[in-house]
Formats: sequence, structure tokens, C-alpha cells
Amino acid sequence: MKALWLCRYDPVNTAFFGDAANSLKQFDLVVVQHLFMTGTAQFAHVVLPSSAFGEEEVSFTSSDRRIQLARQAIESPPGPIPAWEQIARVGRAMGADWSYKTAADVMDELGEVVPFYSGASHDNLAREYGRQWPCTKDRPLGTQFLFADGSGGRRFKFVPVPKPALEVSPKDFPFTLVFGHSLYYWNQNILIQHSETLKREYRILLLDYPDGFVEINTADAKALGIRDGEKIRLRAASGSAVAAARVTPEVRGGTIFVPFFVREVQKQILGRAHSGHQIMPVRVEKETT
Amino acid sequence: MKARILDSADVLKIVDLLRQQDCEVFAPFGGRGRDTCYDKVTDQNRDQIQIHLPNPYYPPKRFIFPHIERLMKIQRSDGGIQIEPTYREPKRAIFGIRSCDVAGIWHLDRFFMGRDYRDIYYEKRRKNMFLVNVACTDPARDIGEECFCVCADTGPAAREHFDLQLMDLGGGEFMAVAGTPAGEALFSAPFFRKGTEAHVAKRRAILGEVRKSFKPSTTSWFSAAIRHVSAGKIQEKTWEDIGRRCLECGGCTYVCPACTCFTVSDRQVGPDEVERVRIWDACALGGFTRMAGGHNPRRAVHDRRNRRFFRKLSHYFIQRELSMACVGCGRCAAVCHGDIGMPSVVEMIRRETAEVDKHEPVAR
Repeated sequence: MKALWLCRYDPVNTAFFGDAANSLKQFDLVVVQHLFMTGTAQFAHVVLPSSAFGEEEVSFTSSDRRIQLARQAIESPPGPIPAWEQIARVGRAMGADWSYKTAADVMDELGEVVPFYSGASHDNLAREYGRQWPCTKDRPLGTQFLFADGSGGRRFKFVPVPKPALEVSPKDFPFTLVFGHSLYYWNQNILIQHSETLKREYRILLLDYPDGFVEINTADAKALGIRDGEKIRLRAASGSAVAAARVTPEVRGGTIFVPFFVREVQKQILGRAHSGHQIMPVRVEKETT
Repeated sequence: MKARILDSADVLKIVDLLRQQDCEVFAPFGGRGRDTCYDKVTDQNRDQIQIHLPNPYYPPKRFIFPHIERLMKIQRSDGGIQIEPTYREPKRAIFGIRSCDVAGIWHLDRFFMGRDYRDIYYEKRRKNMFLVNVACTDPARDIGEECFCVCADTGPAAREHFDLQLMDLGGGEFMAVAGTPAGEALFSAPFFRKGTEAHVAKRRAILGEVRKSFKPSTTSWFSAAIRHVSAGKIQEKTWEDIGRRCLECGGCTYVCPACTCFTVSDRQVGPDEVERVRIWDACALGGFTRMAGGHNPRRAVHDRRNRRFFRKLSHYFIQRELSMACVGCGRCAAVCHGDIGMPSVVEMIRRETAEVDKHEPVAR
């Protein structure tokens, strides 16, 4: 791969595993369409400023399969245009016959190419909060539940997943490290940096825990003699990391929660040969400096 | 209070009258599904104004107390600093504001202007605001599952604090009631006519009937809740139960027509220019109570949650603002993902007090 085109996607800040920043450096051409100079846009050779939500008519598909139509409410400031229009213009400049006039035209073509979007015209989407795909010509109202009739061989099949054998003894590594989203994931989200109230919360977080934090249950912390804000060392078979402890009853006993944004902890503890497993046994030690 | 009758077809002429007086008019519009919102009336959208519709979630208080508002501009010039306050006093009207939201604005009035310190930014906007209240009479469209204004004593028809109140009497007629001289002045328009005793009787009958269309389960045990909150009788465990269900999103505050909290922040807007803004703030957020030194007296979520309900229900505040800081609009119940809107919390408090009340007399 030599070139990458990213449409409103910010993997440098939002891809939890892997090293997007380093990968982007290896491309000859990176094009980023976004509203803001995101972490990813810093690595781009070309940045195309695109319209914001509410400045264009556009559809979204969310993870519950819902295709929703967002209407234009205000005009864009001069300059930014809808992302689909930027792609179409580049296409035309390269000789393609892309003569869409509106986002609805693009959606109509999507419907021709993707069978389960065939009924999802803007006209149809505008009638309700959205339609869940498959939304076809003969099922224009969409499908609330997949395989609801229970027929056919296409239902989800559940298979047991073998529990990975622990490579280490739980005696030596009594805590389980859990990676996940955090309420304090804010500093990674470019939109939240533009919200005054949430920016305040973010600044406070940095004041309280300048280097990020990992969360440990109150009872566990008490047993280990760890106080809030104190540095602790997490030791796993593959590596170790030091982080500030946030002592809170919000995490279960026996677990250490690592918010995704504390990237250093993640990198150090997973070591080089990490498998991508999100759960790993660790030991907690007080870090004495 | 003087009243007049007008035809349904003429109701929107009130909007026209206000607009002719160079008034920016905001009115409710329907969207898709349950979506409704207040928007500025223009020549294009004037005919789409809805009289009967579910109350928009984003409360109209923002036309007096904006979500975000510049307070002053600070500029560096000629080696000095220039500070210039930004006052805005647009002539505005809210058409179709529900009775609960009228009560919300009255609560804000008491908070911002009711005592020694008067908030000049609020006052300037407020004195130029004209409120056209619409009483909720359509059980199918006006009154939602979560509405409990009858319990909060704010609706379905406001008794005061509006300039003009409209009520659909059915049969193609509306009754307009003037709440202020400014409201009464509108009655000189030709489409208003005098009413009869029959109209007044009809209004009374409709109100009596509408009161019955509220969901019985939304009847809150406010009185018990107020008594127990005021006396500090709520057990820590109940607050913890409530706090555990809070996701700290602040949604309840942003839809509340009676919440008054704000924070103040400075932000750079030009190379030599900073603006000071005030922004709605939410007690659910950790930063709301954190001190500059790092100590947060209400660090645990439930400590911040009980703060919300103290503020809304405690006798101390009711005495100060002359109304409790809950107007029964039900928005918090509709938006809360943890189901700890006001009706649920009052219910949890009621259950707890029922537990406490179980003490048996000792027969000795």
C-alpha cells in the first residue's frame, strides 16, 4: 500500500491497538478529510476540510444497523464542502464520470450496488428516525431484528471459545488487566476539545493525574497500602509499566482498569509480542522512588 | 385577568403581531417522530408552527439564559488592556411556551434577579422577553408519559408569569388570557372578541378534564421527598443507590428548565483578544465541585447527585426562590439513561421512607 484516504477517521487517536502514527509515516500519500486538524491529519500530505454535522444533508449508519438521515440546518463557513463532494471532484478530475448532484444521488447509487440498502433512499429515511438494514425495496421499513423468522442457515451460530491457558500462575499475577473505554477518554476526542464544559473536565483530569492513571478497586488498594494518585508498578509476564493509581469503587476487586488513552502503559506492559488479547494477568507493586 | 376569544385560524396572527413589533419570535416546530424543537419564526416556516405537540426537550430557557454567552471582551491595545462588557437585549418572544417552562423561567427570575445581586446579563434579556403560554389540553399530543406538572403545581395551565396565555377550547376557538399590560395591549387587534360566561365555563371544564389525563404513575410523592430531603433524613445508602445509576453525562441538567448553574471560562478568540463566556454547567460532572487545589468535596458521584436533589427539593432553597427547582416537565426522566430522573428519585426516597416508617410500636 502506498496511499491512504481517510474520511473523517482519526485512527491515531481512536484505534486502540497497533501504532497508527508510525504506519501513516510509511505511506507516500495520506489524504485526510476532517473538520479539524486531528492527530491523524498531522500525518497527512493533503487535508481536505469538510462540512460539519448539520451543515449538510447526509446519512449515517450506526452499529445497530440504523441508517439515519441528518438534515442541513445551517450553512458551512466559506471553504469546507461535504466529504462526498470532495471525493466526487477528485474522481472527476481523474476522469471518472461522477455527476452526483446531491448526497441523495450518492445514496441511490449505493442502493443499486448494495442489495440491503436498496430501499434506503433519502425519501424513505426522512420518514422516520431511520431504517435498520436490510432495508430493501420490498422491505422499505427496514429490519428490526436479523433472522427474526429463525429460518435459513444464515443465523448466528454460537461456538464455544476455548479459554486461553494461563501462561502464568494466578498466585504470582493475581490481578486482571482490563483495557477499555473510560469516562475520561475525552482528551482523545477532537469534538470534545471544542466543548467548553467538557474541556474543563479534561483539564481537571490532567491536573489530578498529569500522566494518566489506571484504576484499582478501593478494597484492593487498601490491602496493598496504595493511596489515590500514588505510583504503582504493574508487572506482567510480557513487561511492566508504572502508572498513577486512581482508587475507586467503580472497578471490580481483582481488576486493574487501563483506559485506552494511557498508551504508554499499554505499550510497555504488552511488550513487543502482544497478541491483542485484551485481558491479561498482572501483579501490582508499590513503586518506591 | 382579562380574556378574549379568537378563532383557531387566527392564532398565528399573534405571532405576526409580535413580529410586526420587531420582535424575534421563537416557536415550537415538529420534527420526525417525537422530535420537536423551538426555532426562530421566519416568513418561510411561520405556517409550520405547531400549537399542540410534545414539549421540546431542549428547553426554551436558553432564549433568556443562553447555553453559552459572551460576558465581556478583553483586548490588548496600545500597551493596555481594554475590557468591554457584551450586553445583549434583543426584543424577543417565545410563542407556545408550556406552563412548566413558564414556571422554570419564573424560577430563573427569582434566582438571577430576586435578591440583592441582580444578574445584569439575565435582566437585560428578561425585560425584553414576551411569553405566550399555551396551556396543555390535548392528552394525545401535549401531555407526555413523563409529565407531572400537576404534582409540581405548575400546569397544565400556568396561573401567572406569562404575558399572554392561550387555551384551545375546541370547536375552532381559543381563549386568550392576558397576564400583563403588555399582553392585554394585544387585545386591540381586530381578531380578538369578547367571550361569554359559557367560554369561561368551558375553560374550567377542560382544565378539570385534562388534569385526569396525566399518568397516575407519574404522581410524585413530592411532599414526602421535600420533607425528608429538607430534614437531612435520607440515608446515605439511598444516595449511593441513586449515584450508582448516574453515568455523569449531565443530560438532566441540560434539559432542565429550572437549572441555573453555570461556569465561566476565558477563551482566546483572536491574536490579542480573549472573550469571557458563561456556559451552562452540570453538577453531575466532577469538575463542577473540584477546588483549585485538587480537593473535591463531592468526589463520589452520589455526593454530586444528592447535591442536585437538595438544590431542587430542599426547604432552604424553596424558601429562597419561592418555588422548588422542579417544574414537573419530566424531561430528566425522558433523557436519563440510568432512570434517575426526578420522578424515579422521588419514588426511591418514598420507598426508603416507607422502610423507615415500618417501626412498630413497642407494646410494653
